[in-house]
Amino acid sequence: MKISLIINGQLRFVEVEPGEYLLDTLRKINILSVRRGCDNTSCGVCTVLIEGKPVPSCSYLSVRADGKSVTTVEGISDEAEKISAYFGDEGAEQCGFCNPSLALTVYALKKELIHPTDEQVDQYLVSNLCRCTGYISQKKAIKNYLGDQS
Amino acid sequence: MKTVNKSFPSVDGKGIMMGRVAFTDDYALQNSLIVKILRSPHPYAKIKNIDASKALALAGVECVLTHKDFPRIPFTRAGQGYPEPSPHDKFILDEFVRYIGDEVAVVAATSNDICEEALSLIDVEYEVMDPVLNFEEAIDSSHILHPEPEIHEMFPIGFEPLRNIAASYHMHIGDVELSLKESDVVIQQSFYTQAQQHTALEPHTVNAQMDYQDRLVLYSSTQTPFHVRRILSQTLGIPLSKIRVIKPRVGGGFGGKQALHGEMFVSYITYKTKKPSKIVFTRKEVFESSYTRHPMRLDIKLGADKDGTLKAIDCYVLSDTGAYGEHALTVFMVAGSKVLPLYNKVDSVRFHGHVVYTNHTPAGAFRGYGAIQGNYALESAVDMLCRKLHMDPIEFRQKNMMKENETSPIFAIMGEGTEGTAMNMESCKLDYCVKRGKELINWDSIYPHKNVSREKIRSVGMAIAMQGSGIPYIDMGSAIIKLNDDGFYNLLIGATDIGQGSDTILAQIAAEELMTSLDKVIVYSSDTDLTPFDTGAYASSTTFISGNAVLKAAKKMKGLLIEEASKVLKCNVTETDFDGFTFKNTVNDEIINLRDLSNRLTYNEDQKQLVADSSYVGHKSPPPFMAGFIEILIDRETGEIEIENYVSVVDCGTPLNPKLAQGQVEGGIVQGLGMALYENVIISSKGKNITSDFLNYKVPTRMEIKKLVTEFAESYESSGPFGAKSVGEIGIDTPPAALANAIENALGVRMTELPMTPEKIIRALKAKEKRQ
Amino acid sequence: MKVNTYMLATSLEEAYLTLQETTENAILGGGAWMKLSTKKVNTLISLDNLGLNGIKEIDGWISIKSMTTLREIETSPLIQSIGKGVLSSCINQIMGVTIRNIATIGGSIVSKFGFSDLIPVLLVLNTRLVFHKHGEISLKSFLESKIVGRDILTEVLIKKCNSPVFFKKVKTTALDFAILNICVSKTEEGFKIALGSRPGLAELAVQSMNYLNQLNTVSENEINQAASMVVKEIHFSSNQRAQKEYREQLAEVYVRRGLKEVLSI
Ligand SMILES: Cc1cc2nc3c(=O)[nH]c(=O)nc-3n(C[C@H](O)[C@H](O)[C@H](O)COP(=O)(O)OP(=O)(O)OC[C@H]3O[C@@H](n4cnc5c(N)ncnc54)[C@H](O)[C@@H]3O)c2cc1C
Ligand code: FES
Ligand code: FES
Repeated sequence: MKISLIINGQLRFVEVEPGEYLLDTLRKINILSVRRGCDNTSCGVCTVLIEGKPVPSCSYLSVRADGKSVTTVEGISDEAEKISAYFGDEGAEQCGFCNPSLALTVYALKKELIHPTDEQVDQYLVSNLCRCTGYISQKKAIKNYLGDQS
Repeated sequence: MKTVNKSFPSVDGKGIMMGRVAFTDDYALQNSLIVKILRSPHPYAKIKNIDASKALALAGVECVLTHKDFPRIPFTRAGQGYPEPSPHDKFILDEFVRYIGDEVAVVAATSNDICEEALSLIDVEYEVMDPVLNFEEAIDSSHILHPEPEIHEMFPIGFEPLRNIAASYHMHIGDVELSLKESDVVIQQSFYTQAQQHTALEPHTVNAQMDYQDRLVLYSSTQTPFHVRRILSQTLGIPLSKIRVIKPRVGGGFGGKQALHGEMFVSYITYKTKKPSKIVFTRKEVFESSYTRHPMRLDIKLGADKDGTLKAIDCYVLSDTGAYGEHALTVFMVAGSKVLPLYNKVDSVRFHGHVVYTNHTPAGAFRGYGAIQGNYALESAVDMLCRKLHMDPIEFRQKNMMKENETSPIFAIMGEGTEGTAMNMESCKLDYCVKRGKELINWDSIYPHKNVSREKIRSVGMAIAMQGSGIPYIDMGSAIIKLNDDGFYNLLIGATDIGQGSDTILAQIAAEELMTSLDKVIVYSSDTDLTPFDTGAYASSTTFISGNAVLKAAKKMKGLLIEEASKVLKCNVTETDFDGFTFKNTVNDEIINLRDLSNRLTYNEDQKQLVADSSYVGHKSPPPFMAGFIEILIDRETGEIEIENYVSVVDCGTPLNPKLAQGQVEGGIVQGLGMALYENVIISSKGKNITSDFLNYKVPTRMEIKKLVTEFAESYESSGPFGAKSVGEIGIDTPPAALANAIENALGVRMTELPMTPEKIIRALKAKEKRQ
Repeated sequence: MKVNTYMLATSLEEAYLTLQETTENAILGGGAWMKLSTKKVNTLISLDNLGLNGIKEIDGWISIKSMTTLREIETSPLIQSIGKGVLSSCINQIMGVTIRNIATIGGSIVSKFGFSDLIPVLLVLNTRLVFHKHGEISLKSFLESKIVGRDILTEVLIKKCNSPVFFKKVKTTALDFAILNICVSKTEEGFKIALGSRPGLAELAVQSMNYLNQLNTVSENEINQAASMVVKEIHFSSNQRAQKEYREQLAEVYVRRGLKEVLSI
C-alpha cells in the first residue's frame, strides 16, 4: 500500500505492507534515530511523535499514520541540541541509545504539560528506560531544561 | 590540572542525542542479507537430523547453515586475554544443543519475513536428553553436558567436564578451621544470587560486508573488537589480515558484549557469499541466548572475638556457568579476590569452590564480575555477625577493614585465573568513605530503624566494597597521537567506549598532558585497522590501563614537539618552553606557536609527520573503594519497599571527569538495586526462562529511583594517570548487601536470596513469627 | 503482524459484517496488545474513521467512545467527576504515556485481561457497555458471560459519582503488570470491593460487600472481618508474579486499608 507521511515537515510517499510497523518503515527510509530496543512497547527507544504525541513506533502500524505528521528527533534538532547541552552539564549522557527518543519525549512533554511537578515529569517519561545512567543525572538535566525554557 | 578532574560533556553526546548515525545497525547496508538463528526448544538434546530443503526452496533464502558447515574447532566466545582462562568448550554449531535458545541452524535471506518463514520450515529431529537444571546437583550428575573429547582448558583451571565442572579452585591462608574454633562468635550462612541480565538497550548487533580490497569488514556492537578479530580468525580460518572489526557507538555493554554473539555467523555468510549481511538479536534472544550473570550459592562462615576482631573468613562458592564455561573461573575468582581483602586483618581465610555446567543460558561477564555476588554474601554475613556480637556494624567495619598503606596476602595469591600480584594500598580512603557516608545518610538518627506509621518503617543499611583496575601483566592498552597541520591532534586508541565515556576521558588525559583544549584532541577508537591494540572494555581497565598508555603517548608527543620547536627556535630542548600553544626560546624570548610549527612541518621545511605511540601493561591493579548506604521505607504488612536514598562515597583516585565518574557509580548503583530488589529471573521446571522480556523482567524505571547522593573521596593513586583508579564497576557491588542489611535493621529478618522481593520478605517474617 | 488487507471501515455495519466473515478477521483498537499477541490477520478492520472518539456527559453519565485512548481518558476533565478522578490515577499506572497514547478503552475491555488495572475500577463504578449488535449490557454481565459474541464495542458508560474510590495496584516497578489490584468504594448504594489480577479476571467480593452493606455502622472490627471474608470468598492463585498466599495477604491488607480510606478512619 502507498501511504503519505509528513515526516519532520516533509511530505513523503512510502510503500508499506498492511502489517508493517512504523519503526521498520522509518528505518527503511533511513530515519535512523528511531531504534529498536524491545519491540513490545516496553523500552521507549522507538518513540516518535504522531501529530505531536509520543507513541512507540514499534507497535504503531504504518498504515495508521497515513496522512499524519510524524516527528523524529531529526525534526527537532535545534531543541535536541539544547537538551543535549543540559544533559552534558549533568554527565547524563552515557551510551546514548535512549537519548534521541528521550529528547523527543521531553520535547512533547514540554508542549503538553504546563509547569509539571517532578513526579509528573517522571511519569511522563517512565517508559523511556535507561540502563546506563541511574536516571538522577537525566532528571536534573531535564528539570533544568524545563525550568530555563518555560 | 586544567582538563582532567573537570566535568566536560562527553565528546559524542550531542551528536548521538540529535539522532546521528552512530550505532552498529545504522551502518548496515540496506541490501544486507538478514541473518537469523533457529534456536533449541529443548534444554538438552542431540540433533539427529536437520532437513532444510523446504527452507532452501523458499525464494529469497540465501543459505541455511548447520553444524555440518563448520569445522569442528572448540573455542570460547569469551573476549579475554589469550590464552583464555575460559575452557574451549563450544563449537560454532554443534550436534548437541545445551540450553533453550542454543543455536541449531542459521538462515540468511533477503528479508526479515522470509528469514522467519525459513526458520519455521526447517525440520529438526531431536533426541531429547535429560537436562541438568539444578546447579546444586550438577557435580557428578549422570547427565553430562560436555562428554565431547575435543574440548579442553588452555591452562589448568580445574576443568573436569565429565563431572560437569567447568572450573574449580582452592586457596587458604592460615588454618581456617582452627581460627573458627578459637573464635568467640561464629556465624554461618548460605546466600543465593540470581542470573541477572545486562539488558543493554541496544541488543547484540553485527553486520558484515566485503570491502573493495576483498577484506571482511565487520561492524560490531562489542566490548572487545580485537578479541573478536582474533577469535573469528581462529574459528573460521580467515586470515587475521583479512578481517577488520569496527566498533561504532555501543548502546550499553555491562559485560554482555564481552563475547562474540552473532559475529561468527555474519562473518561466515559474508565471507562465503561476498554479500553483506547483518544480525540484530531480538530482545528475547538477548535474554535467552546471550549471557547472564553467574548465579551462585555462597556458603560463608565468619569467626570473631568478643571484642569485635574478625578472625576468620571461610567461603565456599558454587557457581552456575550454564551450558558453556565462558568467564567461569575468572568471575568465580573475583567473588573472592575483590571482596575478601576488604577485611585484611584476619588470621585465616579460605576460598574455594566449583563452577558447574548446567543446561541454562550461559553465564558470562557482567559488571561487578563476581564481586557483587561475593560482596552480597560477605557484607550480609558481617552484619549478621555484628548482631550476634551486639556491635555497631559501622564500628566493626572501621575496626577490621582495609586501610591506606596496608595490604592483604590475597592479592599475591589470587589473580584472574592465574596467580595474583602483591600490592600495597597506596591509596585507600575507605575510612573517609564510611565516615562521610554515615553523615550523608543521617545514620545516627535512623539506625537501626524508625517507625514512621503503623504500616511503615524507615531503616538504613550499609556495605563497603572494592574492585580492581585492570588485570596486571595481562591487560594491555595502547595509544597513538598524531599531530596535524593547524596544530590539533588525533588520538587513536584501541580502548572501547561502550557508553562509559572512555573516549572523552582519554581525550582529556591527552589534552591535559599536551596542555591544550579538549577540542584539539580528536579521538577515534576501536577499529582494528586504524587503532592500536587494546584488550577492550572490561575488568575496569580502561581509565587505568588505556589511560596510562595515552598519558605516555602524550608525554612522548610533547617531547617530539619540543624537539622540533627547538630546531626552529635554534636552542636546546631544555631551553624550550611550551605552554600547549606557544614554544619559547627561553634564552632570547623568540617564539613560534604550535599552529605555525605544525604547518611548517607539514608543508614547508623539514617536513615530517609527528606520531607518538605508547603501550601500557599494569603491574598492579589498584582497587577503588566505596561505602554504600541505603535508606528505605518498608511496609511491614506487605513487604513493599521504597528506596528513599542511596549514598555512595567513592575512592576512585582522581575522578578524571567527575560527572562522568558519578554517572558510572550511579548507573552501577541502580543496576545493583535492580539485582537486589526487582530483577527476578524465573526458569520453568522445563528449563525455560519465562522472564525473557521487559514485561516480565523488571529493570528499575525512573519512578523507583528518587534520590542518589554520590561523592568522591579526595584520593590520589600515584600509579594511575593523574592519580586515577577505575570507577566503572565498583558502583554495582554494595546495593544487595546494603539493602539486605537495611531490611534486617527494619524487620529483623535476614534475606539470603536475591532478589529480595516483598513476597519473600513477608514469607521470612511469617516463618520468623512461627519460630517464636 | 502479518496482515492481508487493511480495511478502513466506512460504517459500523460494514465493520461488523466484515468481522463476521471469518474468525481470521479482526478489529483493530490501538493495536498495542495485538502487536504482542496476534501473529496473523486476514482483514484488519480499522475503526479510525467512524468517529468513535471522545468523552461526553449525558444525563449524569459519562460516555466514553470505544476508540478513545487511555491517555485521553486520563487527562479528561470530565473524568474527574467520577470517584474523585480514580480513573486518571488508575490509568496513570498503566505503562507509560506513549502506550497510553495508542491503547484504547475498547481494546482494554473487550480483551478481558486478568491483569487489567482498569476493569476492577470500572466494575466498582457500575460501568455499562454498548455493543454495535448486542446493544447495552453491564460490564459485570459482559465479563461473566459470553453472551456478547464477536461484536464491536462502541461506547462505555459510567455513572458520575462524587464518592471517593480507593485503588491500589501492587506492582514491582512502575512498568509492571499488577501483582494484585484492589478497588474499594462507598457510595449511596453502599460498599463495593473488586479484586483484579488475582491473577484471574477481576471480580467483585459480593459476600463481603453484602456483609458490610447490611451493617449500620462500620468500624475497625467490621473492617477486619470484611477483609478476611474477601480472602475466603475470592479465589486467588499463583503465577510468576506471586504465590497465592502472598496475594491473599495483600488482599486482606489493602481491602482493610481501602475501607478505612473511603470511610476516612
Ligand atoms: C506492553 C503492554 C503492557 C501493558 N500493561 C498493562 C497494565 O499494566 N495494566 C493494564 O491494565 N493494561 C496493560 N496493558 C493493556 C493496555 O492497557 C490495553 O488494554 C491493551 O493494549 C489493549 O488495548 P488496545 O487498544 O491496544 O487493543 P488492541 O490491541 O487493538 O486490541 C485488543 C483486542 O481487542 C479487540 N478490540 C479492540 N477494540 C475493539 C472494539 N472496539 N470492539 C471489539 N473488539 C475490539 C481486538 O480485536 C483485539 O482482539 C498493556 C499492554 C501492553 C501492550
Ligand atoms: S522498541 Fe518500541 S518500545 Fe522498545
Ligand atoms: S544512556 Fe545508555 S540506555 Fe540511557
